[in-house]
Amino acid sequence: MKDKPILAGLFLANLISLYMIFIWAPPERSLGDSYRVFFIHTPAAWVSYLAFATTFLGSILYLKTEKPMWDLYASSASLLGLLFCLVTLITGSMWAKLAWGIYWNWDPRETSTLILLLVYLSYISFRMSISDKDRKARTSAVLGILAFISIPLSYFSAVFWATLHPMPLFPINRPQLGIEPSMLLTLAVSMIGATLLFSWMFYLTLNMYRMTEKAELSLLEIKE
Amino acid sequence: MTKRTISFLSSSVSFLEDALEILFKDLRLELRRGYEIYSIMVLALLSNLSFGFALGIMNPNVLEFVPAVLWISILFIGMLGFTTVFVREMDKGSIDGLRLAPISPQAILIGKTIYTFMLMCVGAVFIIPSSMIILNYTFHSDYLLVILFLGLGILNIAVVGSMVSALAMYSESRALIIPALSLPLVPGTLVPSILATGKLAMGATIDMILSELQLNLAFLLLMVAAFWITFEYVLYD
Repeated sequence: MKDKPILAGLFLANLISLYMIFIWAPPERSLGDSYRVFFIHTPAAWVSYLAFATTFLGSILYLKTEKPMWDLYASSASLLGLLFCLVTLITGSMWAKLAWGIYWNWDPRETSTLILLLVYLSYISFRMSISDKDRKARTSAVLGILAFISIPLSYFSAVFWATLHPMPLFPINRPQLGIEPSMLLTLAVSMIGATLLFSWMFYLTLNMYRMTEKAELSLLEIKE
Repeated sequence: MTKRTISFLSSSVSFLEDALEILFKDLRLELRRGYEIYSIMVLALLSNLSFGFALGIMNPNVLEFVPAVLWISILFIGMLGFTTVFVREMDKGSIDGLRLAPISPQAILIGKTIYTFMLMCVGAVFIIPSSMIILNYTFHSDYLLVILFLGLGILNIAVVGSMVSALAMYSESRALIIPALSLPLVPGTLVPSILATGKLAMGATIDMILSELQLNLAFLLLMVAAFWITFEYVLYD
């Protein structure tokens, strides 16, 4: 019952955000209506970075305090981060196809986002491959820290690579997005909507893990 | 010299001695068995032959592909070595001996990293000359610069590999988890290494590969610092 006002706020914020994205924001000069995917792509990217930063912080705090709660935060955030990272990549490719004619153009941000996705996919598969709970939490916390540190290094390498490599597939005149104040406002609202959506999903994932843990404990008690 | 300086120097010397002790233990074990070094040599030759077939014999654009071929081969050979670093200790039960030994965890990590680095260097010693013959190319830069740069790139991969091996020893699917963890963590050093190797093959001087060198050094410093801080959480149960 206490979730109802939060849920109502979240629903309202996302409804307003959808209205602004698809109806209120004006069409873009060169890209027309197709640019609207930008209002889903950018908030998804922001939320995925927020989620991975939460994993990083949760990992540090787990190593410091050894409280299982922080491991739960880190693993839940990484799952959601992966989901939003996937949305970022898919919408980014769609936008690249519409704007530049190709789905994948080895843009440094595109490449480093793909590496980010792979790093956290490995993080999840690593967690799944360890059955001992304490070991899983401790080693995953270390990996959560390493994964986050490796991201800027991968990004700078991708920037460096892209500036040196000739890319014949690149269109010479890439249309650039001309941002108007109404578009900026739509972007801000959609960012808030996505952040609220992430917070709600994070809360649900934490509850799901806690309930699974309780169910497992009850099952063990019944067996004994 | 003050008392503090003397104490710092003596603790540094004993740290190095501990790290070298770990290194010599692993090297003795490796030389006694021998088949891993032999396998690395065979894999080095096979990877060059496979890439030769894939790229086409006497390809005029071979220099465009050679740096990537070299580093991918070195990385895969490294992965063979990563499984022997900590995973072997866990499989044989000797990890408890390491945990109980009066050695700092960082000294163990450094010893293991130098061992991985040496194992990868053995692979590189086979890969590089054989690829120069099979793929028909040569390095036009100063050989000392080539060796130093290749050494730095290999060291970076060895650092990541040692830590990944330490993490993977707790996993139930070690063979799969080592490449799954290593590959996404190394692009930060792999990309500049490939780019600089291409330049070195075309006769670049140190000024021309300065950015790649800086990126690789930044990678080394950041990763070593992160591993230094977190390694004891991985080693001790």
